[in-house]
Amino acid sequence: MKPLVKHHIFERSACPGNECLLLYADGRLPHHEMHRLEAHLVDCPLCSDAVEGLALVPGTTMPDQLMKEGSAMFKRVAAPKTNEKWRVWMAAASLAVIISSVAWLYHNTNQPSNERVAEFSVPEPITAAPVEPEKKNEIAVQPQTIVDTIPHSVTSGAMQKQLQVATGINNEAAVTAAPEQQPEVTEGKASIAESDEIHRMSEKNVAPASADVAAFKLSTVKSKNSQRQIRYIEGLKTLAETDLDDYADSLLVPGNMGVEARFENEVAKKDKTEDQVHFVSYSTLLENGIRKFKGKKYKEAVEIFSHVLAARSDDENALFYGALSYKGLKRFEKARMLLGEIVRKKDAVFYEEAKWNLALVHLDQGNEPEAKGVLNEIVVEKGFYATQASEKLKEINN
Amino acid sequence: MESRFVCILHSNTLESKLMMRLIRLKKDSSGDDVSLIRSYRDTGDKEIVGILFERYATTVFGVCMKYLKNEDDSKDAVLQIFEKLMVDLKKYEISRFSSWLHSVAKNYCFMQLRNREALFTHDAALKEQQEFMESEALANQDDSYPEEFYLGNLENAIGSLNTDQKICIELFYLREESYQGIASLTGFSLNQVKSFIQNGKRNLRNYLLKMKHETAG
Repeated sequence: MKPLVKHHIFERSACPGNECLLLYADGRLPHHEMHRLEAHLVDCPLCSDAVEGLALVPGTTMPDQLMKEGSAMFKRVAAPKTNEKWRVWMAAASLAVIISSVAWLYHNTNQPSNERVAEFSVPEPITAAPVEPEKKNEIAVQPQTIVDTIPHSVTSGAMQKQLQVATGINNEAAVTAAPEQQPEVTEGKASIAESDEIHRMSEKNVAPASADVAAFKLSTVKSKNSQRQIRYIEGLKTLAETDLDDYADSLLVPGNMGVEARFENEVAKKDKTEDQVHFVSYSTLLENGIRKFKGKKYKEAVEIFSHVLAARSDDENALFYGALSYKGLKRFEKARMLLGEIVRKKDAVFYEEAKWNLALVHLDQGNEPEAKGVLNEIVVEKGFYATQASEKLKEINN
Repeated sequence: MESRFVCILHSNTLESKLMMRLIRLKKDSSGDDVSLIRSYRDTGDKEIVGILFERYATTVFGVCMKYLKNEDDSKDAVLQIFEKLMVDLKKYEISRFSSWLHSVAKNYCFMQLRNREALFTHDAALKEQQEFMESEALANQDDSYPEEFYLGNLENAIGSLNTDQKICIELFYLREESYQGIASLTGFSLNQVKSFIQNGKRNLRNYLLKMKHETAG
């Protein structure tokens, strides 16, 4: 018999690469490589378990999405915290605009108006902003919140002028939500009845994602390098940032994203197949994701928002609606992670909604202590969800 | 002891060939993992954990799939596990990353199963847990042998194995047959083949350690 040297049997080899494991699990590894891997498997419970598990997953491309999500996660957590000062100024400026906007609305809604109005679509039960019943009255937002189906109308004329005066910003596009690209985007406005409540609302910087408090649509600010503005898609709040052009103009999106590709001409279109990569604008992708979410097609929504996050890991819209989509799929851990990313930044547009939903996700997971902790924080912070949080706490304790 | 492939190459060409293959396989050595972890502890740079993620995400996903039997849950689990690693890598002294990672991944999966209140009512899960403990014990065994002692006694050691283990060990290590190939040749099931190789190898190790101890005594 040939002698077997030490390394032959007992020497430990390093774990193989991902591709090798996937090919083996798929039965496509060449024989000689297979033996080498199996010799490793004898000693490595990690890889041994891995190939067993991978064999349960058809195909070898599935982990790609996982790799993307993971990379996005590490990019997020590794990203240095920059522009903190800028963010503080942005928050202050937002507050100023909100105050002036709400004041303007108050002034105008007490006078007869011929503006065309329609009703906002009712938010999903799962969405971030279940409107607090008492608070709805307290802040005197009209129950049938108003929507203007004609883009620009909200921002035209006197109102725009008013905003310019109030903010010192001479920016024609500041209030509009890039409507030329999304004519179907709904935009809203609300009327405020009590001036005291206006101050109260402004001071608290209330910003629920629901269209029910549509006044926040007007939280528009332009800083030196960027604009942050709220716009509503399908009646749901989103953050519109026009400084994202460097990446938002075109995103590479697989053909199965359910979005229409934009081609230079018909010849170019013919050259493409369904599977090929399409170029899609950020706003189109976002709208599509929101629609999927609203239509409760959570899996498709998740796919779209994941794609956005892979391109821009801190995209608040994708983080928030991605989280809610995961919540809809009952993938609570994932929802928790994305919401956690938002609540790390107190100046995030979706901060309050994210925190509230984080508490709900904890409850969904049966994790009461964590949920209570978050709910207590919401109460202490006295934000929009403070009363709801307080009631939820009572409910839990009973 | 982690391999550094410093053993003397045997003149046998088959083994030289095997050695070269093993070296190629070792593209991300465990030593590198430990160095990375050390760097992470020193700098706190989370991108380092990202590198480990790139190396092991698929592997951990496979482990989670084996126990959780659900793609979405497994994907979530992988992200959770690596999120946890960002904290744990700073807390624990890790000498063999893959073994440690396996324990972390398995424990996470068992915790998830327990949360589903399925662990203690699910025979398969219990069986897996038992196997886990066995494989952990195997992974933690001392695998150091003096070269000369090993070479002189290995043939005797193989001779001491029971017939099934002996056949599988020889087919696997000498003829380099795959699990499937051995199963076809012998009529054993795949699980039996794996088991005979693994147990045979453990018995070889025990035999050699015993001999070494007796010689030293």
